[in-house]
Amino acid sequence: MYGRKGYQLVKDFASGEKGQLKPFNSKLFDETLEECEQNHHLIQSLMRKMQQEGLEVPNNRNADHYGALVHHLSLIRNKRCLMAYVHNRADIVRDLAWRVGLELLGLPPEIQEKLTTLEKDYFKNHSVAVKSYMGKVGIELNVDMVPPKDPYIKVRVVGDIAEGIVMNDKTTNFARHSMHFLKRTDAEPYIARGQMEELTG
Amino acid sequence: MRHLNTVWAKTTITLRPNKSPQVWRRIPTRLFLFAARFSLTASETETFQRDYQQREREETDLMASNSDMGSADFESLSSTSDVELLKRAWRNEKAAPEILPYEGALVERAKGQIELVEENIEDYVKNGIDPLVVSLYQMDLDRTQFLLRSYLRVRLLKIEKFMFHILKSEEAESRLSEQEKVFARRCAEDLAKHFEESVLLKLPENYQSVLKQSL
Repeated sequence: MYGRKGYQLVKDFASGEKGQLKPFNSKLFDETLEECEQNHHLIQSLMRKMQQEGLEVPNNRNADHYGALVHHLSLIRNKRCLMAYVHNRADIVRDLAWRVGLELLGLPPEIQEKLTTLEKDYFKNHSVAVKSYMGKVGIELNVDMVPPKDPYIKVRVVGDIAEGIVMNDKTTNFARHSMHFLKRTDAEPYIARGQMEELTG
Repeated sequence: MRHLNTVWAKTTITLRPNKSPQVWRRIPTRLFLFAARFSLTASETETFQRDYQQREREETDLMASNSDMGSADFESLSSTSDVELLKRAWRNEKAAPEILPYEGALVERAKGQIELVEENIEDYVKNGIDPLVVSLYQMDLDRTQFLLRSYLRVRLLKIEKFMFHILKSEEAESRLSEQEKVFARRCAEDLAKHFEESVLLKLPENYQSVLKQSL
């Protein structure tokens, strides 16, 4: 049945949680592409057959013509499914760039293994575009994602951070489970990566 | 007396000036009471309202133009009126489904004022002014910075969402700033390249266009 593989591909994407990526389903993807090839071959053979019989569109709408039409429409539908799959994954990749950070290696490994090489390239290109815009405007757009309540917040270090980071002319030692009283803008990148957590209340 | 009480409750009143049967006017309650106090006729009330609004507009223009000077005396006044404009632009941008015209002059002024306040804060810290006052200034600065950043961020996200449409429509493209146009073009190129490499080059020949279904 034409179009079933495309439908399964789209359903596979939709069955994941909204905003979360699943590993790229290359098997289904390739099968859909193969179906497109088949459809195209059949179109070409039917057109050739019609030409050999000396009849041409649009004068003679015989069975071959309609067969070719069906293959054409199914090809278009498969193309749409494939492009929707790729487009939605690209949307999620862009969203990740904004939320987690613009460095490819800054992404946690569980997410990195779900992306294909092409998607990683797209991530890199997009980060470069965003960084160049931020450079031109002169303002960093990555910090301050949440409206600020207090200028200073209490944080506790959860993950591993390299020792001896210089902050505000003082070298602070970020040992695990140590609590610090930092400026909001300084602590935000660490909180976004999950290496620090904010203590409220 | 009872009549007066109900009059205060409404904000506008409909009048029939000079007992003419056809013409009805709506005017704000306060204006009506003012006119009644001074026994103004309908036409005098109208001209008075127009002059008053004109004077108000001139005053706000004056305040806005003063903010361009950025001198220390007008700093407190200027940051309120500019921040109000930025807040309004931010709210509009967040609520509108399409991208709105870019407020270039406002963004430039806001950037300048943020830098000014940052320098002031550094001076205050050095001079040892009460840390509570410093943290209040810092808080205000943070909030203004957040507004500016969020405004630009919301616009970028809209561009990312609608990149092909914006590049196709002349009108939408005219609402972007120069750097945003460059960004939009790069984004569209990146996405088109991504599509081509993942899908389109593997499809048969007439079906390889990004924007058309098939030729």
